[in-house]
Amino acid sequence: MAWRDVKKRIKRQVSDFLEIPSDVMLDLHKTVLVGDMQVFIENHRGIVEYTSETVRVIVGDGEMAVIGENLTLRNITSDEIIVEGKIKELKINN
Amino acid sequence: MFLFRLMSFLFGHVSLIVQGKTLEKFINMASSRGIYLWDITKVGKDKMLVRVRISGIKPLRHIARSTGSRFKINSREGMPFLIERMKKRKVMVVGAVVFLAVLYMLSSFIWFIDISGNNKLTREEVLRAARQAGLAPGVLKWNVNKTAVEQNIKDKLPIVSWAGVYIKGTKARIEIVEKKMPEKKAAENQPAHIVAKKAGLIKDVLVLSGQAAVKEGDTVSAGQVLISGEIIPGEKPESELQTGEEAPSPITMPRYVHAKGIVRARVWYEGYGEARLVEEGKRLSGRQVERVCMKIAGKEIILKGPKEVPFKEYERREKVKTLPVWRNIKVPVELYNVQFLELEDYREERSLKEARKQAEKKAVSAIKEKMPADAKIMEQRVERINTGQDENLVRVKVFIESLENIGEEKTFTP
Repeated sequence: MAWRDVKKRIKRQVSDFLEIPSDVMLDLHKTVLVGDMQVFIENHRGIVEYTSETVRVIVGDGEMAVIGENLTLRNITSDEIIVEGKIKELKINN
Repeated sequence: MFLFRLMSFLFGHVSLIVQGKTLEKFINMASSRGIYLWDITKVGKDKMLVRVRISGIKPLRHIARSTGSRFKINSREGMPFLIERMKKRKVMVVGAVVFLAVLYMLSSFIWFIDISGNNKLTREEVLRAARQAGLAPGVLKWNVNKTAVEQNIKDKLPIVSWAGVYIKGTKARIEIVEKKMPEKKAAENQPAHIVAKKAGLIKDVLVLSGQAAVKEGDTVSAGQVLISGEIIPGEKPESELQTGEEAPSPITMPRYVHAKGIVRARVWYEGYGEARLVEEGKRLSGRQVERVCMKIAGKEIILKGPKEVPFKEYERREKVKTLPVWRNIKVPVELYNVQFLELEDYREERSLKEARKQAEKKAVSAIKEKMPADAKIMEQRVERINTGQDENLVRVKVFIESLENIGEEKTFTP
């Protein structure tokens, strides 16, 4: 576990130094929230739960939850999800 | 996004209702296998609506089997399904094609011909010339040789100096420019007098050809010969006679010429004008409404415009468009375009001076109509007519003295 943390730290330092976007270098997810209507989640690892009130997505090491009303999955490909509806909360837990 | 929609329309897509306990797994598996899913909506517990392209349905069967879910097709959209449906309704497709073909065919004929620029020529004359060159209502658009039509109009109608033919849609527009013909004058070689157009007092006479019949200070009446085209010999100036040794034997035959010259005379005009001190009447207020209605067999249907005319008093102007009568068949449909122009009462009061001025203006303009354009006004006098009665009218008489050319050519046969 400690080794992984060290690797992660070095990667971050390199990406900071070279000014490479960290989502590319570190293989992180990227979330774009458009008002309260749309959420783009890039670089996901699949969905865990989908109901019209919650959408939970695996991202990186953790999980991300979109909570709202009338949620629909507008678009789903192997690395991008677009969630539409009335969005109330976004939760990230690693 | 638009491109994506177009593509999915062209290739066809279906919306599926998927039922199962592990719908998330179903979605994950589909997306990881590259099956594109969109518009995923939960419709109930363990039930969702999914859109997918036709090509994705087969692989989805495997996924459904392995995740323990079932799906059935809810609706089919896109070109492939549309074509499938069309195959069942061949006649409708044929009808659509026939409709397009007829539309195209009808729009390739010329139906209307507009002519502009003809003042002296009649519409029929131009149309006849155009018809000879192959431009008439009902001919095919591409059979019309525009330059030939233009040339034919110019050849057949010598008064036309330029002709242009434009075809726009089913309408052909013929634009022509007429030549300005010089005023017709009596033939130069024909003998002519110069006679007075109107009565006047001769101011000066300038003879270019012919023999002066009047001199300065003479009073002439209309029709009197001013410069004679008949030259009677023997009236040579005396000085000439004196220098010659012997007077030439007088030629008894008079010579006839086409008289030319300018005879300027003072001419008097009298004009009358009147103006009211208080004027009342009705005039257009400028406000108007328009109504378009259709008359079908005596029944009127208002297509546009108000039902009730919003004016108390109004003038009505209407234009009626009817379908052309063909072989005793008259279509009882007429299109009315009615304009309602509001009338308003007005009352105008003038002072005596203003009324007099207006009356004078009217009188002068009445005189000016009778005067030639090149006349020079020498004197102008205004006189008020007093009727002795106290009335609403101001009557005025205007006298104008002008200097103008009163000569007019008049041919004669000796």
